[in-house]
Amino acid sequence: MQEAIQLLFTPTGLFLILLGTSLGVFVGAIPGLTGTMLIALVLPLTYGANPQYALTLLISIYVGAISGGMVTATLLRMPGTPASIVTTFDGYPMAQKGQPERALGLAVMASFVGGVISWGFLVLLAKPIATLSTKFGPFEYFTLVLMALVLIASIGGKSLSKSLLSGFLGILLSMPGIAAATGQSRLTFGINALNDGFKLLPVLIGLFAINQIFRDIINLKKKSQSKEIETKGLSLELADFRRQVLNMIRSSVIGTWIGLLPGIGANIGSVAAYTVAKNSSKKREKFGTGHDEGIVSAEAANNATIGGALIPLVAMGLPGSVVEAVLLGALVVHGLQPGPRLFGEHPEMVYTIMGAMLLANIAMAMIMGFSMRWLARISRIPSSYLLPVILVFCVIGSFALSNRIFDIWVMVAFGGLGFFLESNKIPLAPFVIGFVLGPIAEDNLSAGLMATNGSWLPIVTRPISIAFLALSLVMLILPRLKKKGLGFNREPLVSE
Amino acid sequence: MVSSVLICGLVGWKALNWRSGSGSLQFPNQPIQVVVPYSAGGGTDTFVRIIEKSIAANEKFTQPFVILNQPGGGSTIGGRYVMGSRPDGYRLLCNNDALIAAQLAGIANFGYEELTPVAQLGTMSLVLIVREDSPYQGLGSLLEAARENPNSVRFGADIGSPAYFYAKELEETSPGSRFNYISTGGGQKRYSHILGGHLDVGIFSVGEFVGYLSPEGTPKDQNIKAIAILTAERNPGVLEVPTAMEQGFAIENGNSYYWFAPKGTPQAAVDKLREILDAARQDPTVVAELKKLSIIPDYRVGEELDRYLQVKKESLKRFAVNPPSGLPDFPAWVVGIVLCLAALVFLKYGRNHIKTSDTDSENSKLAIIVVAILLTYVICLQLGVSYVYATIPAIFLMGINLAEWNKQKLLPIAQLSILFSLGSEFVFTVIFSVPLL
Repeated sequence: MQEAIQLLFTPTGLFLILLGTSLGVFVGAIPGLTGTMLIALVLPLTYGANPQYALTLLISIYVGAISGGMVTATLLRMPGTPASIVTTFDGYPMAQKGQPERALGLAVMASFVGGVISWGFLVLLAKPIATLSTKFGPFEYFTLVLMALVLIASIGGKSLSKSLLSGFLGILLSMPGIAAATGQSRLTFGINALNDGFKLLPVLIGLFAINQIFRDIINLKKKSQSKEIETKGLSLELADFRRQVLNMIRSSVIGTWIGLLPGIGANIGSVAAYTVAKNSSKKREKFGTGHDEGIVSAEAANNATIGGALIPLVAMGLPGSVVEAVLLGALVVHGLQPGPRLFGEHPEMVYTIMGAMLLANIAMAMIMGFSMRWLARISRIPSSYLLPVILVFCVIGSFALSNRIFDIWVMVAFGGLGFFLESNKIPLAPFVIGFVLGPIAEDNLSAGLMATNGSWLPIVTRPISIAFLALSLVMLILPRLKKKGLGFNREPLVSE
Repeated sequence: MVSSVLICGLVGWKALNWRSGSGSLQFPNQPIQVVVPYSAGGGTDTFVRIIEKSIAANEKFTQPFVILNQPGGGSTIGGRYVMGSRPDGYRLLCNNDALIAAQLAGIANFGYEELTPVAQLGTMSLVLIVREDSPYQGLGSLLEAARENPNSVRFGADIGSPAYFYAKELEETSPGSRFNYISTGGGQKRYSHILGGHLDVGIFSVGEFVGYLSPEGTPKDQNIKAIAILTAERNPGVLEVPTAMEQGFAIENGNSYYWFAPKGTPQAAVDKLREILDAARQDPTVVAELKKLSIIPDYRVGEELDRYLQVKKESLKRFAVNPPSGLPDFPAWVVGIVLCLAALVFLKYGRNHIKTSDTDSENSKLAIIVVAILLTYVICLQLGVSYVYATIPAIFLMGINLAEWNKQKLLPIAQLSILFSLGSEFVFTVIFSVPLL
C-alpha cells in the first residue's frame, strides 16, 4: 500500500491524474466523443509506460469523462457521454430557467460524493466478491439481467406499450451478427459487415447526438428567441448539500450496485437512481422540470457506477462496462491478470487503482470548479461553428472505434431512427437498455439451456436464480397494485 | 491571428509529411498496418504488439508496424477488410487458427486461400483445464465419462471456434465419446464458469493457464488444474502437466499465428515482410517475451507454410459443426413481440399524434440541406477521398448554410474548417497514432 501511495504522490503521478481527469472532462463535454473512445485511443500510448502510471492515467480519464458529460447535458440538452443522458432531464430545464450555475454546482457535488461513496464500496467489497463470484452460473446471470430489465421497464414515456415497443426494438436490433450460442450469423441479410452486428457506440451517437443535432437545427430560430444560457461557474450552497445528503447516499448506492452488474454502464445506473429518487420523492411532479433531486440522483449514480464497475474488474477480471473492457485490456497488456490472485501478487496494483480513483475524483471537482466558465463556452459558440464540428466528431468517433466506414453509416441510420421514434413520442432510453441487456440475457440463457440439454427447470430450482426471479415479479406487480388500489396514475419519467 | 499561425503550422506539417512519404521508392516507404481482428489486450493483440515493439526498436527498418484493431464477427470483420485492401504490402492481417475454423464452421465465406500467406510465426501450446477437485483428473477418466454418458461432460468451447475443433479431435481419439459443447465466450468467462462448476472442462493456452492459476494452498474448489498438454513434449514452463500422448491419446495440436497480405501482393514486398518478421522473431527480447507467454517461436514460410496450412485445414475439416439443439428461436420471438407491440401502439395512437404545426418549414429545409451535406460527406469518405479534403468542404458548407450565408461569417467558418480538419488529423495520426481513413 505504501508503495502505491508513494507512487501516486510523486510529481509524475499527480500530473498524470490531473492530465487524465482534464482530458476526460474535456472529451466528455464534447457530444459524440466518449470516455470509452478516449481510453481506447490513449491505451496504445501507455504500452511502454510503468503499468501503475498507465492505470493511473486511464482511471483518471474514466472519472473525468463520466463527469464531463454533465456540462453539455445541462447547457445544451446534449449528453456529452451516454452516462449523462439522465442529467438532461432536469439539468437542462433548470439551466433554461436561468440557474445554470446551480444546476452544474449540484451536478459536480453529486458526482464527487457519488465517486467517493462508490470508492468506499470498492475498497470494502472487492476482495470478498472475488471469492463469491464463482457461484454465479448462466441461469443466475439470466435472471439477474431479467430483473434489471423489469426494473428498467418502468422508465420511458407516458405509455407502457410505447416503452415496451422501444425496449424490444432495441433487443431486436442487437440481434444481427454471429449468435454467440450457435456460432452462426443471423439477420444479416447477406451483408458481411453486419457479421458483428451494430456496435454500441455508433448506435448511441446516432440515437442521441445526430438526432439531437437535427432537432436543434429545426428549432434553430426558436432557440435564438429563448434566453441565452450563460454560466459564471458553479454555485453551491450548504443548504443544498444538507437537503440532498440522503438522496446522494441512496443514489450512490444504487449506482454502485448497477455498476457491479456485468455489461451495464453508467447510463443505466443513473436511470435507475433517477427512477427511485422520483418514486420516493414528495415532489414527484417536479421531476423533469428542472428539479434539484433529479440532477443530484443522476450525477451521483453515474459517477458511483465507476467504483461499482471496478469491483468485478479487480475482483474477477470481468468488465462491468464497455470502458472496463478496455481497462481490462490495459491490465492484461501489462502482464497483470485481474482476479483473486492480483490481491496476493500485485497488491500495489490494486491499491494504485483504488488510490487513483479517489484522487481523480478530487481532481475532477477541482477542475470543474476552476474551468466551468471556460467549459461552458462550448455552449456559447454559435451553432454554425459548433454543429458542423460536432457532426464531424460523430463521424470520426464512429469510425475510429474499429476503423470501418460501415459504422458511420450505422450511426447515420440510427440517427434517422432516433429522430423518427422521438417524433412519434416513443422514448429512446428503453431502446438503449434493450440493446445492451438483450444479448447478455440471451447468451446466458443459451449457455444454460445448452448445459441442461434444453431444460428450463434450473431457473426455478437454483436458489439464487429463483430469488432474482421472485424479485422481478414483485417489481412487475407492485406498481400495478399501487396503481389500481391507491389510484396512482402512471407517472412519466421522461418529460416530453 | 492565433488561428492563422496554427493553420500555417498544420499546413507545413502536412506538406512535410507528404514529401517525406514519397521520398523513397523502395518498399516500405510508409508505415505498415497490421490488422488484428480482435480487441486490444487479447492474446493475438498482445502477441502482435511484442513483434511491433521489436520492429520499432530495430534501426535496420525505417518504417514501423502500426496496429489496427478490428474486432468482431469471429475475426471475420478484420479478415475481410484485409482481403479487400490494395495488394501493395502495406496492410497485413495477423490471425490464428480461428481463420480456418471460421471458414469450416460457415461463419466466414472465405479462407486463407483468398489471402497471400506471408509467414507463420509462433504457436500457442494448449492445455485441458478442469477444476482442481474435478472427478476428471486425467484424459482417461474424462473421455471414459464422455463415452459412457454421451453429452454429460460439459465442455466450454464456442461453436465454430478453434477450441471446438480441437475438442472434436479429442473426441475422435476415443470412439463413441461425445461432449456437450457450451458457448460461454472468451477465456475469462470460461475460467470463471469452470471455477463455479458450470463447466467441467475447457481448452486454454498455456499462457492463459499460467495466468489463471492460483498459488498453492488455495482451496481445491477455487483453483484449476491442467490435466493434459496437447504438445509432443512437456512444456518447461509447466513441467508437471503430462502430455496427451503420455496418457495414451494420440492428439497433438497447437494454435498458430499467421501473417497474411492481400491476394496479389508483389513477391518483392512479401519477401521484405518476411525479412522483417524473421529479424523480429530472433530478437532476444521477443524470444524472452514469447517464452513468458509460453508461445513456441516456430517459423514457417514458402512451401512449408502452404503445406502446414493445408494439413491444418484438412485435419479440422473432418469434423462437422453441429449447432446446439433445444434452443428457442430467439429472433423469431422478438420479431413477433415487436410486431404485436407496434400494432398495438399504432391502433392506440395511430392517427392523431403526428403534429407538424410546430416545426418551422424553413428550418426543416435547412435540416434537409445539412443531412444532404452529411450524406455526401460520408459517401466521399466511402469512395476513398482522403479525410482532410473531404472534411474541409463538409464543415465549410454545413457551417455557411447554418449561418444563412452571412458574409461576415464566411472567413471564420473557412478558417475553422481548415483548422479543425488538419488539427483533428494531426491529433489522431500523430498523437494517438490512429490512421484516419
